[in-house]
Amino acid sequence: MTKPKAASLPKNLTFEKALARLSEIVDELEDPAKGLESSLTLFEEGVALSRFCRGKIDEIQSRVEVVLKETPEGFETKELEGPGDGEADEEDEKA
Amino acid sequence: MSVSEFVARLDETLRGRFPDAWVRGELSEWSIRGAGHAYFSLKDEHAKLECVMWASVWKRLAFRPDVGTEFLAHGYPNIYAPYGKLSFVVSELQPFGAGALQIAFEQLRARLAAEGLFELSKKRKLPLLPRRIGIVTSLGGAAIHDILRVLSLRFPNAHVTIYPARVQGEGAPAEIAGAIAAFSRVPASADVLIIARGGGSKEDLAAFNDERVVRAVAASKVPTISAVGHEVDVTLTDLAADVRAATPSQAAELVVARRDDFEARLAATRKDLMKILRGRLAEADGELKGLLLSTGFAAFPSKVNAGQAEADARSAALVSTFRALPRAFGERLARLDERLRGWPARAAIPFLRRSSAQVAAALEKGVKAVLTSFSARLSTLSASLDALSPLKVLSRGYSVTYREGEGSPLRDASKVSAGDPLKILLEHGELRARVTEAKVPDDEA
Repeated sequence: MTKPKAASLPKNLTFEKALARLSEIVDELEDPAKGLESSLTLFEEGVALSRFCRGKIDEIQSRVEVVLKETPEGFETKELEGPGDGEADEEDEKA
Repeated sequence: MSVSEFVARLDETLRGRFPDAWVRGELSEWSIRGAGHAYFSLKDEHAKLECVMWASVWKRLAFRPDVGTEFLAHGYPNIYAPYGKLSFVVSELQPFGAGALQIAFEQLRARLAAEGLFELSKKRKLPLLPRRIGIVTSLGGAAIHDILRVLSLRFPNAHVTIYPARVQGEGAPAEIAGAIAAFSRVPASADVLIIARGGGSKEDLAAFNDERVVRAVAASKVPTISAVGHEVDVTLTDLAADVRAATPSQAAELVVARRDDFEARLAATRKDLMKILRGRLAEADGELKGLLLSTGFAAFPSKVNAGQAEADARSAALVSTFRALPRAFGERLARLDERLRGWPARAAIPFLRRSSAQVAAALEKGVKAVLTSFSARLSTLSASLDALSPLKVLSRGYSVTYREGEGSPLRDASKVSAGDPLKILLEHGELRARVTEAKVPDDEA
């Protein structure tokens, strides 16, 4: 089979909406009255959505920061350091 | 001794005798008068004591004294000379039994509840996958340590923004409320906000029962999780937050599902999708094969071949007949030829041959294309088959009618006349029939 083409996803899609739509798609696909072409389209959308969700999980940057002050541009922060998470830092460095 | 002297002596004696009295009684007749001082009385079954509390004193009370409640009053007796009236000057008032904090807590709770700050219908859902987690707590406390430890186990790449605030002491309520408001002001600073403090005494948790903090939590644009103290401690902050966690560690569990859970769920969904689609393709495959093997489709190429063979044989017979004619008939032959040219069937033979060959070739090409695209683009073909498949239509009770020998179905009654032979395709088998009457709607313009 050819690689499913990237179905276009709505611009303002959120992780929640994507997950909800994914389970909707599974339900819709389970309907035996669904035609093959629309099944394929749904499948492609499902694959795109699951990629989107995966991407959203991956794109969260691992960071623990402390707010120093609030500026018009947002928070001015610095990386958290201290005895509180010393163990985690050490592990990160070893890894 | 004058009245003034005597009253002054009494006052002096009383005050000297009871400079530091604690009196317990039920509060009644509370009123604020004149310069803002509070006048009330304490009583029991047999006696009543008039009391006064200067404005500066009662305004410091964390609670509003309720009539009918028992209080402990600290103060000294005083005789107001112009009226010769005894009153007890109260410098401190404490609810008897329940602590003052408890009273204050209950009253603030009732007031804010009436305003709708704790309304369950206003509780927001937390985001499933927070891109940024905000935390308001003290950097030195156990709470932040617990939250970060649990988060690092569950969702190692979490993005956490901590707004440090003192969580107990005089300045704590303002700092906590300010930090909560800051997350609402700064766009995209957090998708969810944890307000946390480790366990402590009721007094230690007082900041989280402070009206400023409770209002800030209720007004937060970012959904909130409160995690204050231990499970048994319920603060007003807990009531105002969208979600209450029993402990800071539990807040970290509520704020985001385990990363592995997300991944497992996504993988399972993809697997489901694949399984369903494979089933659907297998179904379509079967349907297509059934269609190709069905009588009408399968018989078509052989019918064309038969037609072509017949045409070939006829034209060959005709040619050999002409060849076999004696030369002497040449002239007649020429004339005959001329006449034959006028015979449409004669002229039609090459055309018939060509067209039958073309039809066969086109059909072969078409079938090949169908089969090729079947493997390449099963989807498109099968979907259109799904929609157009004559079998589908026939199975619903419809039939297709052809004029005998014609390839395209009949659509118009005016195209046939009585006696014309028909072929009717049914779901199972076909009928040969003749037109007995062709009714054409006469209102058709």
